[in-house]
Amino acid sequence: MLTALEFNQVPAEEAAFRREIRQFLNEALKGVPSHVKARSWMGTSDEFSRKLAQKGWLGLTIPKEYGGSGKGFFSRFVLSEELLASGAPVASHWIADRQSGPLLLRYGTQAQREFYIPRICRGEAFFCIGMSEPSSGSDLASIRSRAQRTENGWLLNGSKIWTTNAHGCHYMIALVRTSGETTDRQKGLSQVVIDLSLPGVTVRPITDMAGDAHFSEVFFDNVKLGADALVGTEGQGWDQVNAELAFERSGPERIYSSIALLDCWVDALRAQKISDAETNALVGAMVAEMATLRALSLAVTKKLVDGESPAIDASVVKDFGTDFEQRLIINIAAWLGTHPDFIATPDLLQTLGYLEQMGATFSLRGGTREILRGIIARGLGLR
Amino acid sequence: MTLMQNDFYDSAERLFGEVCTPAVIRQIEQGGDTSTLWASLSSVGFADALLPESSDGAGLSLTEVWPMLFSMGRHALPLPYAQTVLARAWLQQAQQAQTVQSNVLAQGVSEGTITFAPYRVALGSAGLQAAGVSFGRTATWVLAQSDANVWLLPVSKAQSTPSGGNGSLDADLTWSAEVAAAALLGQFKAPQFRELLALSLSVLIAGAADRVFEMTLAWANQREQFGKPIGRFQALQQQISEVAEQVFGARMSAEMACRSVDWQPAPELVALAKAQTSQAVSRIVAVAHAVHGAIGVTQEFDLQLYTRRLNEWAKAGGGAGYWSAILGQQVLSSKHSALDFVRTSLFAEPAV
Repeated sequence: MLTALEFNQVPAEEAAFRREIRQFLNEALKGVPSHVKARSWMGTSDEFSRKLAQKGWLGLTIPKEYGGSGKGFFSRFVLSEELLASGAPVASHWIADRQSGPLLLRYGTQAQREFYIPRICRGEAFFCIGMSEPSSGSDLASIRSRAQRTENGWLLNGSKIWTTNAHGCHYMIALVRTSGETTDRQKGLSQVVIDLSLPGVTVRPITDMAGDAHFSEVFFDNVKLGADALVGTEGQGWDQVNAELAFERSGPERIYSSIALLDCWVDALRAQKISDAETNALVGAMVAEMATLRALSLAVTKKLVDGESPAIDASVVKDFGTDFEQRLIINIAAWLGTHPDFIATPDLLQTLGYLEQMGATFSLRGGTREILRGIIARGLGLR
Repeated sequence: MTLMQNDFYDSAERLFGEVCTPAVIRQIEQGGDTSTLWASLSSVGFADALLPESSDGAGLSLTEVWPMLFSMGRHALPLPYAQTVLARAWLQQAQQAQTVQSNVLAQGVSEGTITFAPYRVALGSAGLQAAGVSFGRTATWVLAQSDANVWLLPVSKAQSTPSGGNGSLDADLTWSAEVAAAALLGQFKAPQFRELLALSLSVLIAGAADRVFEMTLAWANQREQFGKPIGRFQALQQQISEVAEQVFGARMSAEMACRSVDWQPAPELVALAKAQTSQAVSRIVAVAHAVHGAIGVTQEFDLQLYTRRLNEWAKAGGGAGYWSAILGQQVLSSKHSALDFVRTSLFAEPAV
């Protein structure tokens, strides 16, 4: 059920943490052009991720006994916001830090927690998520990859596709069928953790239209997994995945994907002293919406702090946010078209070019717009 | 969807639900008497909520009264109650600062409702005209400003012509030169009422949008076609979910604009709220009517009481483009990144 989202400030005690992060980022990202910043959580740098780990900023909300920093959700909000708004290349550790770590903490065995989580916090274990398959996108319950029980573990066959940064990761947590048939749908699905260096695993990066390879196809050919590969309860994979997606949808990730373009364009307007009513109105409308989204995202964060599980609220904010991220690109592109005399720097045009090319993915990754709106409709009592 | 956990909100919802029924709104739109409604509304003393206790007010902050203002929008009160609450706080402060003529205040402004006219006010040979005054048909008083002149004008002494479409409460008001002279309250260099009007309307939009959305959901679950409720069809679900986001956004931006330790709103937050709420209106109204079908545009069905108001309020006191431009101008004249502008100017967070 959807409930009201109330305004919340970022607690004042987070200000010092933000300053510390900003200082670090100003140094680490000095001279990085906008079109590189625009890649943000599709941009990878193992070195950058390990520097963050040294600062204690990986596994921020993970308890100290597992190598984390034991901080709260507001601290995580501030860190995520600073990293994304500054266009830091966070893709190497992002999923391990944000999804896999919390997932293992919640569903993993004690041995799994002790093995994986400290490595995640040290920036030594990068994770990807194996969900989509060639014939299973939005209809996730139709997946065919299968792990069969053997005497001492599991035998895995099948493939995953569109897996973000699989080629840069050490492990994948995959949703696979462990019993029944495809017609059993959600029943018989489980999550397994796969060491991607095992024999029988082939990772093939896929080049995207921006010329990058941010996602991959992953093949499993008789891959032998240990008995301890199972994460959580056998047959409960569907519910676990949905809980995991709630983590994915709850942060400020879905506001700032196009912010490198907004900042770059606003700087150019300032430099060329352009401030007519129509331009001002476009800048103001985008900033008003961004502020509103930030407040909604903080309201969801507050619910997490209060121990609630705001999965549907998070879907509202994510869908609203991706719509904003995409409209920002369209609006600035249209503005440039209306002002052919405007001196657009190569960096601005390359930033726009990148986002025009990859912006379509904003409302695909982690659940499409249509799927999210279906989730919201259910929360509203329409289904 | 509204689940505001607040005692003020609950009592406001109860009171407005009892005394401001759709039948009452219809009567007043058709020119009926407003005094009975106002007597019921003002009996709880909420009009002076923002005044300090030393002035017999409730000493509440804008943040504290926000739920009640929101509830006024949910019930589409046909009187400028939200404006009155803010106007009284403004008058009290002006009186305290001795910047206004006390004999003008002595006309009896403590009786009745007050609306704002910060635009289209002109003093000419025909007298003083305020055109397209929001709630001009039902307000008791108008606080009007033209250049530095501020008047507190009794609507009873104005020549009034309805200025909006069917059922609109807006009016062109004209006062004789004598009445205007007696109503001149004082001189103020800066515009006094733009933000107060825009804030009132933002909160009213957020409330009415919430109401319209509630009606839309109920109808989608109730109306059946092809053997099932129309809300079961994906085509409608997609639109209704999108509108839910806009309703959440409108409400949040209005709540932000009410963030204040005293009665005065922060101008940047008002610009944010009026821009965000006004831009949301067209989509919310369009989907509400699409879901309701033909019944939604009939006079006897209640939806139109709220959607007509939403359309009016989106434009009144400056629409999305106007307030976005004001906010955008501030962004461009600052040196901040978008995030830092938002953090420091709109969330009152410290600079880094």
